[in-house]
Amino acid sequence: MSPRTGTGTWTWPYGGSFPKMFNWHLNTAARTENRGAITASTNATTITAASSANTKGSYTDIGAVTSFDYEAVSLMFGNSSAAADFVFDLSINVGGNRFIIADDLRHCDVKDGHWAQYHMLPIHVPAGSQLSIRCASSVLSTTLDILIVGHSSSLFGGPGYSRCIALYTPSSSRGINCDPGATNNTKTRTQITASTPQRVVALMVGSGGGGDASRSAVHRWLFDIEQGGAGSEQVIIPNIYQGCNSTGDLPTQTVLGPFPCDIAAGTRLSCNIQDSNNTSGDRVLDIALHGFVP
Amino acid sequence: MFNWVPHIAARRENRGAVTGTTSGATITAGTANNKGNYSDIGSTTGFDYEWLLLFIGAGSAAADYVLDLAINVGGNRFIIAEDLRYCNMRAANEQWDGYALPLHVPSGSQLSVRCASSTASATCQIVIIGYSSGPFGAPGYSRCRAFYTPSTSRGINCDPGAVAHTKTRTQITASTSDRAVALLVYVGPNADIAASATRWLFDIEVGGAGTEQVVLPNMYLGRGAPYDIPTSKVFGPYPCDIPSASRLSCNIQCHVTTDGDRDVDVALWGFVP
Repeated sequence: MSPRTGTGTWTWPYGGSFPKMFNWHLNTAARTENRGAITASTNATTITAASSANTKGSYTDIGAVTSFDYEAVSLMFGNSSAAADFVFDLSINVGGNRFIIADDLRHCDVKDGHWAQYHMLPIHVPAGSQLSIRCASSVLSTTLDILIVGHSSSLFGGPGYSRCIALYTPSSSRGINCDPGATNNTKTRTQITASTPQRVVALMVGSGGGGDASRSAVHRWLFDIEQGGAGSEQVIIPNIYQGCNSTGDLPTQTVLGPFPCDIAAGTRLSCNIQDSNNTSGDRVLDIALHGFVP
Repeated sequence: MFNWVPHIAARRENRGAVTGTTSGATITAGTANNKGNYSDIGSTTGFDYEWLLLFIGAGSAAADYVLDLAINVGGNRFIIAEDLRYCNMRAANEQWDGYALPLHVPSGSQLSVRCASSTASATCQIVIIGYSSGPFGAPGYSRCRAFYTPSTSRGINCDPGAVAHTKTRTQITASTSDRAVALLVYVGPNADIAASATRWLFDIEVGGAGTEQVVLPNMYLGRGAPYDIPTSKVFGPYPCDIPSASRLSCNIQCHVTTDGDRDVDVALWGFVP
């Protein structure tokens, strides 16, 4: 019986029994460790995309095996070898069996020189796991450098979820293009997924430049993330605010969340987005959604 | 005790978004490096928040900023997050930052923000999304305290030194004001906006000089020439338990040795339980 499951019982010292539950660790007990940092070159571990564009390459191990149970992981990445879009899978290898615990995480570096982070992804990683990552890129054989910080407890001492699943299907190693349309300051809806594969209880939003690395002016976006069938969408994250100008050309902070939610399996998700500037192409963002499976 | 609210009960609302112009609520700084007046962010809160997302963007000047988030309940204003950092040094309207803040905000509060900037009277825009529960249904903390003293509206200058790939330590604060159970980090370019590609690894540490203990090991950040400054600058919050009166420092290394280019500025905050 795993100590993390809630189906067993044990004897309460004062008599009787109650459900065996995960032991929430207070922040006072939080430990951290780094996997993947290369201090001799001030760098992280290099991952190489396949020799075909938009195809995942081989897995690369990220440092040594984990020395304690993680309940959250933080990933920091950048230093890509070419201006490109990326998606990557985070896996664990336990006893020779590899499991993907976060799939198609997104990195937009089509301008080159972009670093980004996923902070405190609430995912459980058993002690003794070998972390590994593989990536696909819009440019063949491109490399990306990644490191991981493992945390023995999540915020508030919470336990990690089992997996982080992609709630979109990558296209050209990026998210779903969301076009606000030709009327500025007016929202246009794009479906991100027709049907979520599983129930999720936290939602993460990634954004990218929609393949456009050369914008002609300032853009400000407000966008809702919604759930529900066509015509009956309900807003679950209202008016996220992002923008950029023609110097950087891309949104700067591209990872938002995770946000609390409870989205049933089989749910349609969409993005309803508006832009202050209606220049064709420039107004498009690509959006990637991820959900955490309890 | 606080009633932990399951995610299934999570509500959310937006304050500050101006859909008519696709923008946020505008805040105006005072004279250079002095806080201006508070500006209200939308109407009062419709329910208790236990977690909020704060977006800062559309800086009118290529400038550094620090901002205070306050609530006004019954005519009394309280700062619940102080000296949050927003580095828009590269160009006007270039940078958008998002902070995830596990803070309690009572229902009926008027959220307001004020800012200082390295450029007098500079403006930026704010949008806030409030949640009725934090991650895991958790309650929000009472306050987010700055564990640094802003200088020229930015963080503490941390210089990795003239030897590449070798760490150099800089004290961020000699003594924290409160016990903190979550730590937030912001890394800016220390006003350098013309640099070649740069990579850093840095530790955040707690403890007296010579007895520092690493609490966040080898965080990774960099920049490329097109941007000239780091793009994604907010790290955390991360779980911790740092007693009041602790010394905090940053131990940082860089892969280039060019003076100025190798520097960053670091700001730290702690969440008070």
